[in-house]
Amino acid sequence: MTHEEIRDLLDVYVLGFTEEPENREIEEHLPGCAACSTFLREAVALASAIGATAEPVSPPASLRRRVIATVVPPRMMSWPAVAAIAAGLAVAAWLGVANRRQGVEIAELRQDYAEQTRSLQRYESAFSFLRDPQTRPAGLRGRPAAPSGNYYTNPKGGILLIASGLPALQPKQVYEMWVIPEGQAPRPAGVFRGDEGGGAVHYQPDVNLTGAEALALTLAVTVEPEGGSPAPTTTPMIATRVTGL
Amino acid sequence: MQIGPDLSLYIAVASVLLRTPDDRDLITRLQQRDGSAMGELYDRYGRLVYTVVLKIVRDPGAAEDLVQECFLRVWNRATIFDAQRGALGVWLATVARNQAVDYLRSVQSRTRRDAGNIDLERIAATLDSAEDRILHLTEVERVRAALLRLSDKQQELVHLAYYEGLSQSQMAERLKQPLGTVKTSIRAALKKLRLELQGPVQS
Repeated sequence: MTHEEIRDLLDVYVLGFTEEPENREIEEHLPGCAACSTFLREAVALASAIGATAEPVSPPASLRRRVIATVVPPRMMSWPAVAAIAAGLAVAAWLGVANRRQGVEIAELRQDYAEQTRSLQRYESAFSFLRDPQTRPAGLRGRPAAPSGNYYTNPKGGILLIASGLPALQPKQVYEMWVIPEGQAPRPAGVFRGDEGGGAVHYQPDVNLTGAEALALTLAVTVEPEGGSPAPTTTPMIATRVTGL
Repeated sequence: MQIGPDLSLYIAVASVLLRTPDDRDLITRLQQRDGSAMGELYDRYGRLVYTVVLKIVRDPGAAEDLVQECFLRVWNRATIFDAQRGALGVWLATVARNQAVDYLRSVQSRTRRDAGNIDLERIAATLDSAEDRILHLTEVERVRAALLRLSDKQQELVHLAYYEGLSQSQMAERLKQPLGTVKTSIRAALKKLRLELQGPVQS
């Protein structure tokens, strides 16, 4: 194809409209052609402009918390704390909402309670992953001394870690799981916290690996600053080599 | 076609449609893994991402899951974003459309279109934002008006390609038209859209 023919196709190429053999020709042509690459960049911008013209729809208010919770896990509380909050709600309800201040307190309690419910949902989703017959242990690792843990993987994607003996976290620290395809840099696979005894359950539902990457990889955990790091900054723990997810 | 005055015009228009002033600071914080930046990112672009995703998948439950995935993806890939040049909204709109169309294709058991060796999200993360132009959100109306100036048929084609993610052979089948006709018509539609958008950018 000529430059002009390539450029003519780029607006529809970025939408996934073109098929073979055009796609291959475009993909072979572009890396070596700065001029046509400019048209590709314009095509990407044009496509996003089409999306921006859609009549805006407001998402449900709860979605904001869900999005934030994917990177900043809600604070964990013990069962007694959950019970205390539930009791607090009952007492507050019994007293009645006599004034504004009480209303605010109840709202805060409800919010804490909702956070707890979400934590429990995370555990439930982890356990339902565990119950799936295709889920299997990826190996029992870690040095004989703490920390240690089991990773569970599933061909449909997803990694679950049940760990114990993890070192205590300082304030503003989290554990971060890593997926390290052979010969590649570690990729973040979610941050989590544990309980006071050094135990933790972390479930990362979506791990985007290509077929080749899933064949040989290492899973590991490090301690990182709150929010996680793009690359490990401390010594990896519970490093486990996996062949074939 | 020569590289003329329209060079980077679409990029400029899209950047403006999809940019707020202090995105640069926000992206820097995302790149530093500052969890508090996620809330701000969502406040600025949550509605855009939800709108695009919902319009594609037309299922509020699935749309919520996909929005969550989009933001996680942006968080995990924050380092590819060029804070000096890029427009966050262009990037988010591109990620949103990609994720939603992939989902739609998977539930409809249609062929997944792999991006091959070209990472369109990476391109969207590094577009020049033509900062010398003073542009405003009225540009949304400009693009909307340009879309409305396409014929009904052309609008339908753009809709099927953008929101349904149909490939050329799928679209030919859907419209019961010859493949060649479909290919020619949609290219003409997008070309017309480009032409409609040409001219001095409103300030």
